Amino acid sequence: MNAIQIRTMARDFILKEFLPGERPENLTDSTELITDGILDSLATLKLVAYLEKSCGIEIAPDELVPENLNSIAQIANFVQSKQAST
Amino acid sequence: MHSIKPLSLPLSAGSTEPTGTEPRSILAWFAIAGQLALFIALVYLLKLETYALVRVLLVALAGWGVHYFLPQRYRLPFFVLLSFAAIAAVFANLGPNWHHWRFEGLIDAAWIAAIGLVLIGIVHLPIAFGWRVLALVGAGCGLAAARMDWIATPWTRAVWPVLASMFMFRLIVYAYEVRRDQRMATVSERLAYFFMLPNVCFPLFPVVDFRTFRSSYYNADRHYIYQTGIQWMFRGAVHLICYRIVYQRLVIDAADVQNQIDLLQFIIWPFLLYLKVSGTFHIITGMLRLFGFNLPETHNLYFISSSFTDFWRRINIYWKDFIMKIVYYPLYFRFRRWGESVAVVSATLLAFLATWLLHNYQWFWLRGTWVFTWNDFLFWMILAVLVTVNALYEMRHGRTRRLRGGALSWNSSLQTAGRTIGVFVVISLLWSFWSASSVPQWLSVFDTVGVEGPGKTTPALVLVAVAAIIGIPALALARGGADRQYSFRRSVASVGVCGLIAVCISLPVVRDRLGETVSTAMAEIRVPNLNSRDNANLERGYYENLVNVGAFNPELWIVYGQRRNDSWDNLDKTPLSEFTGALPTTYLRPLSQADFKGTRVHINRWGMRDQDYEKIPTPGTPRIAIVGSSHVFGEGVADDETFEGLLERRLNAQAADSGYRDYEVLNFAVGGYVPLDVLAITEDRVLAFKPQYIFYFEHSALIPRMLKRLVKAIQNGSAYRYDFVSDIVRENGIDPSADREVLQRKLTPYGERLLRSIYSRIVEAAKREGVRVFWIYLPRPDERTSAELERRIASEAGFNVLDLSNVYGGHDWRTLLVAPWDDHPNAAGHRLIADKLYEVLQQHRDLIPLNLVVAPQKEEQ
Repeated sequence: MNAIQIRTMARDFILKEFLPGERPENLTDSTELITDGILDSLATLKLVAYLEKSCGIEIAPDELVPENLNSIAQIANFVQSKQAST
Repeated sequence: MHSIKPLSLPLSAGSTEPTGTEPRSILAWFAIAGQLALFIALVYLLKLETYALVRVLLVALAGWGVHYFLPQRYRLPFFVLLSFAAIAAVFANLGPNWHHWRFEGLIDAAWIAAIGLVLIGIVHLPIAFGWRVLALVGAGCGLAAARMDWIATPWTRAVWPVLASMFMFRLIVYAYEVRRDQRMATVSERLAYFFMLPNVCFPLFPVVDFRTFRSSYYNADRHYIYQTGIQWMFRGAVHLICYRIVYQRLVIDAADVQNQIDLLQFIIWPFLLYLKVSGTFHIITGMLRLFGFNLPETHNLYFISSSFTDFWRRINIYWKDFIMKIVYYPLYFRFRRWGESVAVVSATLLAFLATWLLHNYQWFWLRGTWVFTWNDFLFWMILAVLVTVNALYEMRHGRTRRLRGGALSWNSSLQTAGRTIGVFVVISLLWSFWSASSVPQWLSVFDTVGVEGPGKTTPALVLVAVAAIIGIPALALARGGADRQYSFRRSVASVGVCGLIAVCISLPVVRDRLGETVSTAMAEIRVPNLNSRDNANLERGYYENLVNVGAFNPELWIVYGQRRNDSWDNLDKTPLSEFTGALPTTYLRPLSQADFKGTRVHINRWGMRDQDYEKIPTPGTPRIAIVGSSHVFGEGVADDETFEGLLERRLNAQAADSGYRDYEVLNFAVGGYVPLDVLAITEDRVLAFKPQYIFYFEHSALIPRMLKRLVKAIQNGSAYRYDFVSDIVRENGIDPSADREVLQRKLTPYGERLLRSIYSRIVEAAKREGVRVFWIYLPRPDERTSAELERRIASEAGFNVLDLSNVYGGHDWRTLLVAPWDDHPNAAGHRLIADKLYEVLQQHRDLIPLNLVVAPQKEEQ
């Protein structure tokens, strides 16, 4: 799975689950998901479960930090690095 | 070196390259330094916080001025140096007097640094992580033993809250990160994390995430970081001003809740007192931003949370992040094999249980006592259930979110506003429960539902006002009203102008010209001491037996934080006092002596704190019996410093000129006495000593104090010695076996009647013996309540009323206290009282023919 695919997948999931009705173009790769309150703890856990299932990776509790999840770009980088390490 | 741009201002966040390397701007430097100077002036003029904060702010201002121009690589080490300088500055001068430097305080500061470095060193020992944790636990146990005074320490008690706030949680986070993150933090990062500048004067700011602390350092345009820091500091000041108003105006005791308006007030004020915490957090994070730490915004609009999970997210983001990282996420991952719902419910409940335990852990380190109470436990567990149910609902049905700059539909916005009002009401109820003395006390206040208040204000009006205050901002927030684009210029202009206006209004020369209303309001904001309720409770030792003193009341926390733990018990805990089990509750033990509040106290053979007298006075000797409580007894002053003794000496110094050979003033006062005790001792002892005059000294806010004592006397049966007590209990169907706080509330409406009955009985008893009785108003040095009610009742009962109300006029009341945590007058205060009393006696020679002459005794005093 390349970075663009991961970004698209993450964006679609976030729009569908957490921002229904929001215009897709408003959610950019750099939108701050945690800082702006889109990804709260429950949403984070939902997203993690989704990423684990769809991307075949395993995420540890100490990896749930803003550096990994605060934007779609960071999510894509994080997932790619996990895939590379497995 | 970077170039200096003299006339340019940065435009917006992220406008130039991040990481703090943006060009310097002289104008921006002046703008930020000027706002910081205004902030310091505001804190100083309004006495918003302790003097320690002003000292730290001055260090910050001087430091920031240099820090701004330093190359990036020197900034963090410089911040560390400033942090240590702030610790030294605060510990070198803890007192209110700027000019009295305490060099011995530097030893305490050195101990903080030394212990801290050892603790950090343990985390880095070259042994297995488990052993390091064990070593940390061992060190913690040793420190805990010292905290409980089991081990003597070479440092003072002032060290504990500061040391605790820096290490009690941050060490946990730090060890967690050290174990997981192999990238080494620099020495400066580590020292900055633990010893961060503002912490020395804010012990309630213990948790910051180490990873966030490091990653947020200059991660955006530095002028944006600095200016938002200033903005937050001013916002913090606004919180503290609002807090001061709430604390001085809105706080109501459960015992005083008599109608629906009181009830609403009782429900709302405890939650509003949290403004103190949110204000200080804004100031702390603002100060850290001034040095490049772009930490997340905390306590962001927490009064307008739209759900319980939202409340948990908003109120203290640092605590929430700590719990999520250390407790919630690890537990969730462990439980999720049993299903998502089970994992969420279990992890949430356990996270709140951990919060409750850690809250006690925090309290132990800060105060040296545990706060294990039912209220505290139930508060956290009820909140846990509310958040869990809310989380499950959100998991199944989702939560309405919006992107920055977007807006919810009007329909969704109105629903959000409605939910926000509901959450505010529930949280207020929960908070009032948390801060109540007991569960029965809290429940009993709801008896007043349906009881109308005396004024025109109706509960509906109050509720509509609350709904509007909470609902309208919630609506605006949902509609995207808070999403303005950041602009450095606009922010400087608005903060600068508002700050300048606030400082100008706070200046006495301006304030006094703005009319009485503004002047009075400002005076109220500037009062940095306890409100009348806490003052009265503190004086009668009400808080002595409460383990959670200050847990919900920052002012009490400050008072008790300064307090020495030795030789400062109440009188009834010393060998000077013997408990009677009847009325009066205590007598002084004849011929006893003991150290009490820093001085040696001697009791004569009759159970008075006085020299020896014959029981019956020599014919021709005017004898005055003095009755009252601790202020008259002379708590905290030496035997020869009480105003009673000073008056007697002065009377006798002029005896030859007066026609009398001798005067006798007998001190029957006992600390903790209330009018019921005074009545009992007058009937049982005072009159037997055949005085010609009885001087009964009292101060204001007397009735609540009296009722608290009466409750105990009713419950042990001793109060039934007086018919007027049994009449009130019987006539009104009061259950004497009820919870004490509940019983007091039931008796409150009869407070005036009881006081009138007691006073009348004292007057009648004295008149039967031909003794003249005087009720003398003697305020506490920091008294701000009126004694008009007590004075009127005393006069109606037949007392001759005298007034010493301006006895401390022209003196700073703080210089007249026995100790910062004890508002009894010191020796200087007693001298003022003796002088004033002599003057008043001279003015009332018609009532008290003591043949006083004008004989200034200043030299002797």
